[in-house]
Amino acid sequence: MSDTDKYTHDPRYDPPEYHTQPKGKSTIHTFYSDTWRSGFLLKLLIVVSLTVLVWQILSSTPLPSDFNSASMKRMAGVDLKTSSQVNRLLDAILFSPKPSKRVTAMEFAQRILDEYNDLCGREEQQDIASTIQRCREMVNSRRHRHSKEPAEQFSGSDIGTLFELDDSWDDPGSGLRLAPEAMFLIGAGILWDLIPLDMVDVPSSAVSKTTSSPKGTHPSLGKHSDRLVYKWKTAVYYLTQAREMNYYDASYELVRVHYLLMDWYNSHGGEEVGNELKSEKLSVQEAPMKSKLEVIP
Amino acid sequence: MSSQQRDKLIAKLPEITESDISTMPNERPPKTRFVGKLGDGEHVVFEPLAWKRAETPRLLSIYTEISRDVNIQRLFGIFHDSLSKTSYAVMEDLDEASFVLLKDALSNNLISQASYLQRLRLCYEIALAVAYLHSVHIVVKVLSEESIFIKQVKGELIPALSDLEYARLVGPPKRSSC
Repeated sequence: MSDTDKYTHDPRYDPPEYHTQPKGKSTIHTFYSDTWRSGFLLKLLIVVSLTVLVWQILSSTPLPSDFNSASMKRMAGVDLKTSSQVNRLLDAILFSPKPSKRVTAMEFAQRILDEYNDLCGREEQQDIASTIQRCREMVNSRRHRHSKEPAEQFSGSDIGTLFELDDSWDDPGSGLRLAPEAMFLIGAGILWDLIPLDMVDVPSSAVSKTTSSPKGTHPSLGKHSDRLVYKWKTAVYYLTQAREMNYYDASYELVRVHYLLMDWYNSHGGEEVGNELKSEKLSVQEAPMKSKLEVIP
Repeated sequence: MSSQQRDKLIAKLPEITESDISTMPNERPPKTRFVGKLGDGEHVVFEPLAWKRAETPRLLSIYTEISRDVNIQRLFGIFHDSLSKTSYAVMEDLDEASFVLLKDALSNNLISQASYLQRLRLCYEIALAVAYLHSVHIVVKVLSEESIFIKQVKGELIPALSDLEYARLVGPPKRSSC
């Protein structure tokens, strides 16, 4: 097992200068008895081998039998889809004439991790931006055509993304300040039937008033009127939070849902609660409106 | 190395006894590799250890330096077989653990089907394992598409470095404790 005779050296993973060393004088095996030389070799052999491996994995390319690191430049046409940062790193290791200037494996790992994190951040922000745009367009469409059932709803992943963003406002150092818009889109999505009610969970204190569902039963599964009230109050919960974060566009849906609730309470004799809601509505009306309130069908 | 020093080194590694093994061949010729299973269901390879001139097999010297859980082929311990009169290193059986050789993963599209991010993550895991080995003065020496195994776990590509029996311990000599 420990017999190194079985070891077959793969020259494709050697650094370019290895091929230019005097033949027969210094072989790979004799380097290891010398600390300085082995330290030198550590960079010379391992990091270069690691770089060839990384190049292979990123390009998904099996190495040709006649491959060596010096010939890699000729294969530079392979699209690695890497950032210039990683390309520079690979170049610096493979083509640096001074092995001592090459990075260590730890630095190499850190640079790859940096690249990974940067890419994750970019992809996440692109996803978020497209989710918000998509949801926003659907809400706008419902503002104009709300008398019919919606043709489509927010997707499960979009809803998940919006809920993940609901605390992004206070993330220290985060470039994302999307919680107000996420809160608005959740609230508006609930109001306009773009989000299935059973996918939403809000504190019971926020929606319990006047909903008479049996204990342990989700209000969205109760009587039709209960479901409506639950939906409206849930929408109020999110829209109010968006409005409190100075997201003025939420005022349109907020006023609308308050009117719906007031009507419902008035028709069911809940004057006290209706008056309470009326005062809330007045404070909301002070906010600048972006579009004209539609007549409730 | 004296037999006392050797025993001390080996004592760092756990000993596997027959009661720990659930499956192994009944006939075990001396100094021959075989596969088996531990009591907890782990598939293992029994690699015969060669003791030359009272030197500790390099594989054991290397593994006694590794004190952290890194992405390398695991060594469970040493098994002294009274039947074949051979000592074995009981290693993780990467083939049975659904690992494939990087060379095969490249040719059967496992790598090309992964996203760029997944591939970058795989590179990071390999580089991190190498960096850890360097930090404990181990030069991997054999690092190629035939020494790295890949496994897909929940959509992520997990590497395992193998062939550490060819690695070298370098760096400053350790001070004797006495």
